[in-house]
Amino acid sequence: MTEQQPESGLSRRTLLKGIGATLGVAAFAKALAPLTEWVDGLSVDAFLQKHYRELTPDELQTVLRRLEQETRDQYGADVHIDDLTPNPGVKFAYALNLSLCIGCRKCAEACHKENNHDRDTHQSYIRVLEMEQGSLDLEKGTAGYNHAVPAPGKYYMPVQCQQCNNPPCVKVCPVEATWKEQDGIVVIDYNWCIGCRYCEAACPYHARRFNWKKPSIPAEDVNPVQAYLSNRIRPQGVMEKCTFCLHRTRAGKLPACLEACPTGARVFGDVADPDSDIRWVLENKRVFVLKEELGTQPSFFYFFDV
Amino acid sequence: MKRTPRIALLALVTIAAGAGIGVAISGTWAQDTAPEPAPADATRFPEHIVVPPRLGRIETDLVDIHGDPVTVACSTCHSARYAPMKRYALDVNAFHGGLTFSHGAIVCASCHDPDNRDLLRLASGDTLPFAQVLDLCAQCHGPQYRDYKHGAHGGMQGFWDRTRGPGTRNNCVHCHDPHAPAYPTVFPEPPPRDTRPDTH
Amino acid sequence: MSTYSEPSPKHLVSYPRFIWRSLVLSTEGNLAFYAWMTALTAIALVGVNAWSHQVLEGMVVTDMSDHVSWGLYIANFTFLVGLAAGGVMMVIPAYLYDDKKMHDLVIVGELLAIVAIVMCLLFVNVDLGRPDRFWHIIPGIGRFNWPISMLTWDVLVLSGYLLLNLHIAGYLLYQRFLGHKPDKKWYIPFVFLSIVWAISIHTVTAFLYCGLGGRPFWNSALLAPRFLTSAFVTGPAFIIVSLLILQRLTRLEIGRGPIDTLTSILRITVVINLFMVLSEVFTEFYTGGTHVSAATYLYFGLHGHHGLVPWIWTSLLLNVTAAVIFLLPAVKKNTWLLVAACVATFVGVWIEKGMGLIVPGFIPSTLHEIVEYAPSTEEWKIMAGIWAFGIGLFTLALKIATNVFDGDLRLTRK
Repeated sequence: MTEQQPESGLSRRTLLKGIGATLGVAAFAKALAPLTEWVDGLSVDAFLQKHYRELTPDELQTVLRRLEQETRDQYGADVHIDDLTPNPGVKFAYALNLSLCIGCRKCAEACHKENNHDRDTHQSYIRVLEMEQGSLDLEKGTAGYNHAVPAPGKYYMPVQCQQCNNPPCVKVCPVEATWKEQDGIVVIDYNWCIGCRYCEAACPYHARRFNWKKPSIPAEDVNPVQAYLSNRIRPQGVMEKCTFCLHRTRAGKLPACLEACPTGARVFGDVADPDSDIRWVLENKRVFVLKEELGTQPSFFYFFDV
Repeated sequence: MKRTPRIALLALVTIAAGAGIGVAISGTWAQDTAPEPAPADATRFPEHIVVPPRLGRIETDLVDIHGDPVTVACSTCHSARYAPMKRYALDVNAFHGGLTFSHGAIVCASCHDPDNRDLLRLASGDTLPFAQVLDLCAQCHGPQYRDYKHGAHGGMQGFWDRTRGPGTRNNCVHCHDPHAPAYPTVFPEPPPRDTRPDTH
Repeated sequence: MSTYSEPSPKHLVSYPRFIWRSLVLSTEGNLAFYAWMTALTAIALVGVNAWSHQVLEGMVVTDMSDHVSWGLYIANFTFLVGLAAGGVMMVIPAYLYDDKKMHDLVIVGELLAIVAIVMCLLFVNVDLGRPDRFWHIIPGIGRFNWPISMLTWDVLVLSGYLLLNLHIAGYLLYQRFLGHKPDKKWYIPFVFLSIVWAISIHTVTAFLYCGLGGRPFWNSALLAPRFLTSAFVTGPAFIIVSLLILQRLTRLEIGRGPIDTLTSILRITVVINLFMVLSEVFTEFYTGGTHVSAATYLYFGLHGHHGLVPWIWTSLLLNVTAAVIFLLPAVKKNTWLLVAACVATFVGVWIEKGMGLIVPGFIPSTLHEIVEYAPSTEEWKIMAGIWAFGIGLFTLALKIATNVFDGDLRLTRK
């Protein structure tokens, strides 16, 4: 389209274009306004932080202190974030006795408190399914039951991260924000995750959770004993999952869900130790895993008491 | 460049790329080395079985200065009154701390020593203090006791690694009232908030 | 088109001039053009604002949940990768079959590919929980889980495809701007590469989904062929409509030849797409069992939940109608019939590939629970914003291209 350019000065068209462009830029800046508030919450150190596996011990300590300060600023709680590495030679496994589970959800509640979950959504890594006796079909299971338990004709199956030995979530992560550690726990570097949620799509056990908003926890409810890879308060927009309470288990303690279970349906330990409870269960009970045909090789086993 | 060397170069590059990808894949799926078990000579912390405080005692209506209920031993009353042990628990209809009975076809003397109300009695006739009630339950409920010993039955607290700390265990009677041992129904913690309850 | 050769200008001078003149041209037009671009900009800004809110408040402003963790954004992304791949559909008859009339219009397909990939990248970015951490995925700077993660393959092939098409379109337009005949060795090999690459982008995107064993609805070998077929439906459909609009609004001569060729392609691909739907539907419903739950939910509703049922049947109706229309001889004579069929199948495939594929993959969840999904207002705003931006970009790209072809955008004026 040929244009009649004026020979001198500013044409009306150019003036109008200038006004339009200025208005456009102003509108664009206004549209982006919420981002300025968001950017205030970020820091350069946080932005540039390297992957957990690339941090030197000194850098990691700097990061931990910074995170503790951030928790103080944002939640008003004094916490201690540690970095616990896998115990050499240990390989964790978990077993669940379906004859003993009564579906009281105390494990889910304990997980909620231990792992500093968001209070508004009452998040937990454990989901207890009420199943029909005689069937292992998850189609017949329901997680929303709200009546006295155990109900006749039902049994109860808590599901949480299976810490698979062939984890689909680790395969699909584009930035290696999640990986399987030597003691079998699949962990996430919350400061590296970009929040694409591919792992959540890939997990066959509904084990992964996303922080759809910033977790809100009153200061007095915060569990101050924290670890970098497990129960520190996660930021908005990243994935999280059950870590077998590695801040407890790597110190030799039982996970919170097991301690809360009133019937003793949960068995946890080092499967490499031939004298451990978990070894006894795996060798003497008829254990099975969920969705075995998918080849994920879970470290979480179920059994009945027969 | 002539055609033949070009094709040879292309073939070499393809094979090298394929080998490289193969190595990368196998590198990513690194195999675990077999983990070594914990050293056998490590000292082990004890496992403590909690004994419920009111085992073998009856609560009265009275409360002491700490606010705890005042309890009496069985022999407190039974030494003062003549009351031979009934055969069946359901025949006990006088004061007995709200006893309900639902434990199969066993009789009072199956567990209680008729000559000494403060003791229990094994099938062999040997007596047993109330605090060791586990051994009595284990006589008949062998499989459950075996599971209990291996941590597969009954609540547990503390350390999985007993070289680093102790563990505590529930007692059978924490959960199972010996006169009506069936585990009671409870109301669960609230359901997850992200599912509408009308599914299924 | 002038073919006289000029002494080679200094590219350092003429290339910026090309860019500058193109930008100036982008802001020139009649009232209708200004109204169009202003409206699109307004919608785009609404989207930008909605996205800013999402970044600040978190993705809780969407209707996604831990059950349905991908929704409208990824649905659009999947669809647009197909559109980008299909854009190159014109390249095959033009270059493989040496259809001279198609040659000059290949640029339309390439520009569509560029715009569609840009929109794909925008949709992926608005779906990220932490867009500030985007640098984590850059190979060499962040950590790149290649070759195991299919998402990394997707990053590579989409970026490569974008660069490829930018080069081809840019080179052709720049050479014409200079008044030169484009040198075959600088674009023919890339054009052939783009044909293969177009297939790869959509295959990789399909592999993202079909490799997940935990999602039986997606875990099908047919997914990649289905994606490609539907790409070769939406690409030509969009290009036909674009060409018809160009014919109406510019002096560009298009003629029946290219449009007839594309219509003939559509005749086949729409039917193949429907055949693949049939194959999926049969396999699911004849087999039965729990693996059919997602398909049951999609087509008939499950356990009292039927949110997607109207969507999928509308899509089916649109695709079947389009297929029938395309098979009529009248479609090559009646422009409005052709446009109706193109629009129908475009929308039909958008539904089927977007909401009809992504969402049912999550319903029922992996624990067989049903939590439904319906995009929130913020999601619709962001989607509208990106589409408005893309259409605006496409308008400008075509404007520049048609002016170059007309001879109006030249280094030296005639």
